[in-house]
Amino acid sequence: MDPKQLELLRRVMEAQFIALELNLLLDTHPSDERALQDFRAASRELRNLVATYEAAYGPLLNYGLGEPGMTPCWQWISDPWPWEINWRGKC
Amino acid sequence: MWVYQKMLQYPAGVRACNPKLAKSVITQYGGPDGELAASLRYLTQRYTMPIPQAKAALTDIGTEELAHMEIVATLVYNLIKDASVEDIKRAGLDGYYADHDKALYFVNGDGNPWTAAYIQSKGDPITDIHENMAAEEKARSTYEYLMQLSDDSEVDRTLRFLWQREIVHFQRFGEVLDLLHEYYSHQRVFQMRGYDPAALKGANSEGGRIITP
Repeated sequence: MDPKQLELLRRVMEAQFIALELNLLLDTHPSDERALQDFRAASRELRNLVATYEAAYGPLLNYGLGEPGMTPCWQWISDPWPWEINWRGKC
Repeated sequence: MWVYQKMLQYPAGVRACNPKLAKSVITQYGGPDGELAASLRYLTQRYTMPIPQAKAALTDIGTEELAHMEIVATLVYNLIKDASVEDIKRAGLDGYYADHDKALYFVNGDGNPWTAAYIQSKGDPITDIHENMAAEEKARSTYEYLMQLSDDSEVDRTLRFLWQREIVHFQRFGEVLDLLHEYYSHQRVFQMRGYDPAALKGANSEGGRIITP
């Protein structure tokens, strides 16, 4: 995986983590308006990054929720899969 | 319904092939306090939760545990994929190798297969959330022992992330427990036709929780 793709993927993962953490917090604090505001911003940021990544490198989500891209090939099957990337020295 | 995201939750890393470390780390894949047990425990308990916060927390934490299972699998896979048969024997993984080669299987550090007996789903929401808080603490301890055993700084970094998540989940389950207590503290009375509700009051409730009309 080229370094540019890896860096964008890392940013997607970071944004995903922020949204996930706020999601869990909101599950037990559903009336926390500030957390909800933060979640909305985090979710927007995540969706923008995912859209940028998918347009360049193919879908991150399966079952039709990801953007399949414009190439004539089914990009979902492209290597590497998540467990095949060793992030050694890249964080 | 679930959707797969083609990325890890955390950028897991491994410095070098290390089957001996893999033998310990695999317990968080298929051991008693591992991520498979955590995920299945929460996802199966959610059906009988009485309040929306509990249903949501169990669904979302149960789903996150699946992502942790994938992180642990990534560590184990990368720690053994380049190992020679000699390396495997030296690490004491020869028994595992005979049954699974280098495939991932749900075992603890001693090779015992995963069992549903590791988890409980009791039907009493208070009991279940206590079980989960204990489970998070047990997993936290396991990650601490694994960090003591680890001689790989990249694996350490990844284990530390998983260790932190146990603490956050413990916190969320503690809040769910408070919400459940609050829910049960609101006395509910079922009125039966032909009976005087005043006569029933207090006679058919147990600590505000179980009410048999």
